[in-house]
Amino acid sequence: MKNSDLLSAPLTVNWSLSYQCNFTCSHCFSRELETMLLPPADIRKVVDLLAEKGVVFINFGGGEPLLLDDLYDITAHAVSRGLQVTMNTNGWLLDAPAAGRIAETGFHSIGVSVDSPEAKVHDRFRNMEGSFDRAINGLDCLERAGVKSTVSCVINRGNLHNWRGMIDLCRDHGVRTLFLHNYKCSGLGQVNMGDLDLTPSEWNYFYTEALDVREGISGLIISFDDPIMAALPGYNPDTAVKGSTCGKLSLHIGPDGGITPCGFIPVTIGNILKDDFDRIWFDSPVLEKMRSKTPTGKCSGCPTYEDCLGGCSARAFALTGSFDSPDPHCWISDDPEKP
Amino acid sequence: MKKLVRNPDVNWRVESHREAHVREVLGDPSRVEEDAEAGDMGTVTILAGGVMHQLNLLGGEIWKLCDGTLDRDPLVGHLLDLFEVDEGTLRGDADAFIDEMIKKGLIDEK
Repeated sequence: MKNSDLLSAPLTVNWSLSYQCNFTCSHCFSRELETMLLPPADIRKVVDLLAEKGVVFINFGGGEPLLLDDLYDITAHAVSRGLQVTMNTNGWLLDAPAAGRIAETGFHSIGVSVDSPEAKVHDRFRNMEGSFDRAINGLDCLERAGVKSTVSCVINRGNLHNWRGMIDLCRDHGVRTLFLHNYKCSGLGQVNMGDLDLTPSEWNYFYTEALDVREGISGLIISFDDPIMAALPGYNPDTAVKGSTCGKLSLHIGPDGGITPCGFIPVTIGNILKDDFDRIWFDSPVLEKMRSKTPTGKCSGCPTYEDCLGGCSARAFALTGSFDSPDPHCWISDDPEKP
Repeated sequence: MKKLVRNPDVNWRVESHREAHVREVLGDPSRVEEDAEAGDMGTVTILAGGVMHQLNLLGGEIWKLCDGTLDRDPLVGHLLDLFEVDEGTLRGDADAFIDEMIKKGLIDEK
């Protein structure tokens, strides 16, 4: 990929202000990472730099952002600099006062994690009894405060059979968008992938079904982009870039200011406070490798490669240490004789 | 006359790095073989309803000028200062672009 083909900066920065969390979710990418928080002056510096570079969206994750005392001040500053700010939360601390502060601060929308329409399935996945009820209450508090909400649901072995129940759940609680996230095998996600991740043929089944369901839905946006969907027959995505969007449209910033291509790829390519941001964006050898992948294994000669570009780089990297390896979720057979 | 105004709910930004590259290529007669590619390059990114649109140099300049102060005639006048194209061609291209953007709900004429 030539430098002149690149956007001038990422459109989205996913920012883990801290990895501190009140949950121990089964699939967490960051549970075993160091928790810390930059001093407020440094955080403001980062916000100012992102605004100056033209970044459009900041999404706070982590870690649980609502544990951070400075969250509202940071967000207010980012909003004042013209950035559109969202946050992902587990919803445990999302009560009426928090929703009120969120509304006052100017968050664009709040994503709440709900992984099943069944409380016990959600609580088991999140490893926290009562978390489903708190998350649902959080959604209701947001609705009453006039804040747009979205739901993030990680598709896994525990909810594959009834993910469609999420649609009614979202409608009942004023949710605008349901994000159905693919499973990432990073951190605890890798440790527990044998119990939680779907097989490639199950991913094929899920995406085929999800596309079909989405077709007939109105009043709720269902979003489940995954580069390997390019392998579905007749699927023609209207996406801005092919393959993974990480490093092309987005970057991740960790609690110490370290920049990684995405939260699921623990490869630090620079520090936003110490290194030149443009140099990282345009010249990082790691980003260059992700933007110009070389097909290997079953990707070599695969007719869908030019659309999927090998699928999710984070999953390939987590399991093989190479961005060029085929996405482990890909259902296309290794054997060219087999469909 | 009706003024042209961008949809205020749309996020957008100038791709400054690309814009500089495109201006450099188009302004250098020795790089004429790169003109077509540069002319198609997105210099303004628009994000609307979860969809990303890229505008080329002409589209990007029109988009920037749609700030609610100009109608079509003065807008084309500004463009004539920026592009070495005859007025008829430029007016036709600008009208076609604006009409398409209005159809998509990205620009309003009021």
